[in-house]
Amino acid sequence: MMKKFVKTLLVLAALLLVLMPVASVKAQDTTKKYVIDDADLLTDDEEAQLNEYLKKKSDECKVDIVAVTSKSGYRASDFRKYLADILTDKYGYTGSAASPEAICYGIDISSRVDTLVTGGSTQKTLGQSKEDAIREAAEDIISGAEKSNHAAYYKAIKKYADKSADYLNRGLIHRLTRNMGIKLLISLVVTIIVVGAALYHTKAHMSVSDMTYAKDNSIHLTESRDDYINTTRVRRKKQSGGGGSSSGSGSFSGSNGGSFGSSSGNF
Amino acid sequence: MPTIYKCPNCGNVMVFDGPTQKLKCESCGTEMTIEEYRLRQGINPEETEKEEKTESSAVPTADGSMKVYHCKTCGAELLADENTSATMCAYCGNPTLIEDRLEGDFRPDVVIPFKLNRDAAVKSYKQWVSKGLLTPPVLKTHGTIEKIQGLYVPFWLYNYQAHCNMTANADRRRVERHGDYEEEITDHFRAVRQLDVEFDRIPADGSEKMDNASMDKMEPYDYSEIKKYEPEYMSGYYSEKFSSSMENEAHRAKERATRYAEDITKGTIEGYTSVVVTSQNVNLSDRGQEYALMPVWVLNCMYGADHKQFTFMMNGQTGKIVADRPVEKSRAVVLGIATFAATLLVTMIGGLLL
Repeated sequence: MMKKFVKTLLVLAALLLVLMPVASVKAQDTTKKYVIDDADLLTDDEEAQLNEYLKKKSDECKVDIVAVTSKSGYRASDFRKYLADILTDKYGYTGSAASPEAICYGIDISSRVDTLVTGGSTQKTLGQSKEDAIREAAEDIISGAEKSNHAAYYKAIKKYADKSADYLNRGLIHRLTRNMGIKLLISLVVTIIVVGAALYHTKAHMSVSDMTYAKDNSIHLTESRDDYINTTRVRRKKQSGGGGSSSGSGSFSGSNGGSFGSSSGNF
Repeated sequence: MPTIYKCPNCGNVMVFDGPTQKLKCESCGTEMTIEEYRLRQGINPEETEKEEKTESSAVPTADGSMKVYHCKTCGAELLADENTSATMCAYCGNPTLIEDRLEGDFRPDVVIPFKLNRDAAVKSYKQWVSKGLLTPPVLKTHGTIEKIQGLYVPFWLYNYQAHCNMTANADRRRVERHGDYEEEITDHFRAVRQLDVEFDRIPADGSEKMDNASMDKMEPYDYSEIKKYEPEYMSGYYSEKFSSSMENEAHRAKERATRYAEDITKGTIEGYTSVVVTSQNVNLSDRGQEYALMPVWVLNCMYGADHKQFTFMMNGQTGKIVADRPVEKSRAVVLGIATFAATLLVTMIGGLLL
């Protein structure tokens, strides 16, 4: 009986040893904060909701999707480094500390700079154009928004999370059904063209010209006169084209030597 | 009276062969020109014409819509409607001419003989029908293709002398640039033209059975190959005498001659950015007509549950096809669904690569 009890204890101990690291990771996951709202741009409820939302998206993509707000008045380059350091210190779904699998969108309300920083293979997966697209999608929402406009910042961070997840989610179903509306529209257009082409058939038409039955050398122009009447003039100004604006972007090295991608702008 | 052309060598029937432009015996392979045939048979066309004009063995059917002739080869009864002038015996398959419908007032002045034979017509039809993804399968069957037949269609050929007076407003535009401004300068002219033109052999079919628009689309025929009418050209083909008179169809040729004269005259107002005709007048002088027979390969059949009419026509000289390709709705639906599914699959798989 005693032996049985000891055996059971040993098994339980072994199980505990095996499960401890998992529990530790789980514990670490639950303590990870996906929204760091130092600038108080969100209400407590919004922050909690976004934290859950970004965590869910992070788990779907196997990439930490983080949002940081600041009121320190960072310039774009300093803000990028600040965010890269945060990613290096605390985040990374997988990968080394120097190149964490993470993406971070930062908003500095004092300098009105917004920056996107990507680490690990995320920067390669996205590339500069998609980084710009993610940041600009969020920036469009907060452009000109006051600090007190919590809804705009909530919406912008949610948009950033959605767009990032859309690009980063490598799940087969997600990738197959991504942009389904556009895919359905393309299919519909192609179907209309193909069926239309099949329905259309070159109907025979009269292929004779006005000269087909004219007898050779039978055309005689007996009168041909062009009388000048007058000249009219219409004067108008030439049309001229418009211009545009640009924002900073590119890759940089973090303080620990890791490589990060970035996209910055002003809102 | 029905007439057939027998081979001088074997006695079987000779038919006119388009590619060689000779009479050919399909039994022994003998080929000879119409002139050679007449020489061998001792035929004097003028004497034959006189004899046959006075003789007719036709008996009307009970309702009077058809006439009964007797095949000279097998003696079977030949039923022909009031316009048929050349046909085939339903029993022995031999070609037979009903000469009294090709003589006198009905004798054509000219004919364009068939140049493309039945094999060429069948080949063209097969190629044409195979291109239709939505074409009902019944139109591709052997039974349907076998229905293709060569028919000489009666045509009237009209000659006109046209005189056209035309006045038009003609503008010549140019743009000059001066700094931030551009100036559009338009010179206005009044163009006056008088033109004479002669039109030769504008065709209009003289058959009430044939659709006028389809017959117009058959054009152009190559008139360099037009021949004086000889009945031997009819052997092996169906033929009709005209059922609409030269006077009835003249308006079609007149409309075309008027339009052509206007277009030719307008074409002489050159070198302008825009030309707007303000007045025009065409006077036509009649310069005679001819009665002609033109070669057409025809396939008529019904298809589908609602018995839709399908007609395929091909110019027997040039090979030009005039036909509307029929569509089977169920095939269109299947094609649509298949295309949609295939495109969606491609875009979805393509999305994986992005």
